[in-house]
Amino acid sequence: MNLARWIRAAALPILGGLLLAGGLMLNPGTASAASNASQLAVPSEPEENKACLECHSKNETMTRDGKEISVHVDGAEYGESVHGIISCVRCHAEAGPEHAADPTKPLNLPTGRDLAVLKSQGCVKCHAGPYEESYKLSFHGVAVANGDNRAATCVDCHGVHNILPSRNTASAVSPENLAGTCGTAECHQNAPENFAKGKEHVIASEKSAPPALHLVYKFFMILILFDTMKDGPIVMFELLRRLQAGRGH
Amino acid sequence: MKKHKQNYVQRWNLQHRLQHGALALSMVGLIVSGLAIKYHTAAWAKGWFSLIGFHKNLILHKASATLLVAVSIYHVAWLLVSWMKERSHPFSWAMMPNLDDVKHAGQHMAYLLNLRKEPPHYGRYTYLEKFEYLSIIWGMVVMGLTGFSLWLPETMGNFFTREILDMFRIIHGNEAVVACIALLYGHFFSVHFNPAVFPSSPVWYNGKISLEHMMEEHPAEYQRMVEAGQIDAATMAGAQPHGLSPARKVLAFVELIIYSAIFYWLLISYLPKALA
Repeated sequence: MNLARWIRAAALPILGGLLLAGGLMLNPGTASAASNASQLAVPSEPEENKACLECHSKNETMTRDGKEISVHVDGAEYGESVHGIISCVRCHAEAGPEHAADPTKPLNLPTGRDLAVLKSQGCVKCHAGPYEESYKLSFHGVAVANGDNRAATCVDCHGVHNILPSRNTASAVSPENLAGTCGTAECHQNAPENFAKGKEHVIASEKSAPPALHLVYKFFMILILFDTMKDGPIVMFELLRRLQAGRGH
Repeated sequence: MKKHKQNYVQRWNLQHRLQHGALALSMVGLIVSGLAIKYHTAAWAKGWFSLIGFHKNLILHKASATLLVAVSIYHVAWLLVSWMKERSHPFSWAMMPNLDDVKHAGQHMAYLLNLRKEPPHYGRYTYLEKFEYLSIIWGMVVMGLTGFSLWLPETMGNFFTREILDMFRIIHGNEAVVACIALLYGHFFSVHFNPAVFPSSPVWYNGKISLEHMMEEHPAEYQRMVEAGQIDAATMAGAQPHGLSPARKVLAFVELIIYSAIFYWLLISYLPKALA
């Protein structure tokens, strides 16, 4: 076979393909934005919270979207939660001086699932990094990001004013309570104990993931690469042979 | 019309075509709805979700999966019935892999690298077609088990721990890419984008394969049918397989650029992920 001619025939279209692929890769894509983590370092004065609790410790309700909604917050419970040292307005920026002046004026907050989604967007202002990233990759995160608000958000698993670290046995996300938290009526009703046997907030592509999970991910990256290297050249060389056939006839 | 004057052979009967049709329909539904979830940040996926909604997309995925399971069960039942009533129903072992396939794979590689003049002397199904068929079985088992676990985690959680269910999700989303490469790259090339059959081989809708295409792709089957008197060899006297018209050569050239681009793109995307 005339090898030089073969290589010359192959070079032009294959280089064209390389250029086209290069063009596709130039697409800037989605570089992850710099996170504004560790705002937590500024401890705030929970003294302020007393003013909020003056009203919100009462067992009062209001009507929004045709629903009766409680405005009650357990101040003692909040004080013991991980966020107890933080002022209310950190998460409730909507409740400014105007709210203090006229507490009955609506704050234009949504209710129900929409409120859970909105409020959870606030969590990641401080809890950026692997927690936010892994949630975005989870099926819950994908569903919520695409408008299916039925999926769990931060507050659905972790709670609201009663958030405790997972090592605390009273925490909604402690190993003892996790299956029960997943298994509420609105979510995975009757979730078995197995639901708690594994880690949440894992990123399979990273080495910090559980080894078995990372290994499975690696296996598939290699399998996809193998498939690419098998199917790609078969098609490309078949086309080259086609272009060659009949040459000189 | 006398049968031997025909310039085509009825390659697939109605059963083949209906089963392939249901399989194809379910795969289109699964791939569109599944890739939209996997690549949900892409503009096309965003557009698709704004059109159909995330929840309805999920229903489409599950409905397509149900169709796929149904047609697979039907296929196995159909094979069994055909096998048991072999006298009244045609049954073929042509899809069974054998040592010839290994030989053909080697010969094909030599042909592609210009070390051999002719492609292998394929029979009714080429080694690549048999590999595809086996891939569907493998894919069905893997995607079925993992997909069903993601569909009903509360039930499957009785048998698998959370960590295994997480693994299933990684497997499901990545085995999907494996299937797409096999289907959209390999299968679609052989039956749609191959310049000899572009835009489509008619086998999947009317079951017919031209004698020309048969001589080229299934020469051993062609020869066997000529010897059995089912094809009149005179019909194709002087035919030159493997040739392309000038227009189809241009098509092949454009396709080579596009297919090379996809190849490099996959390589550049997955090489760092595999090596990292």
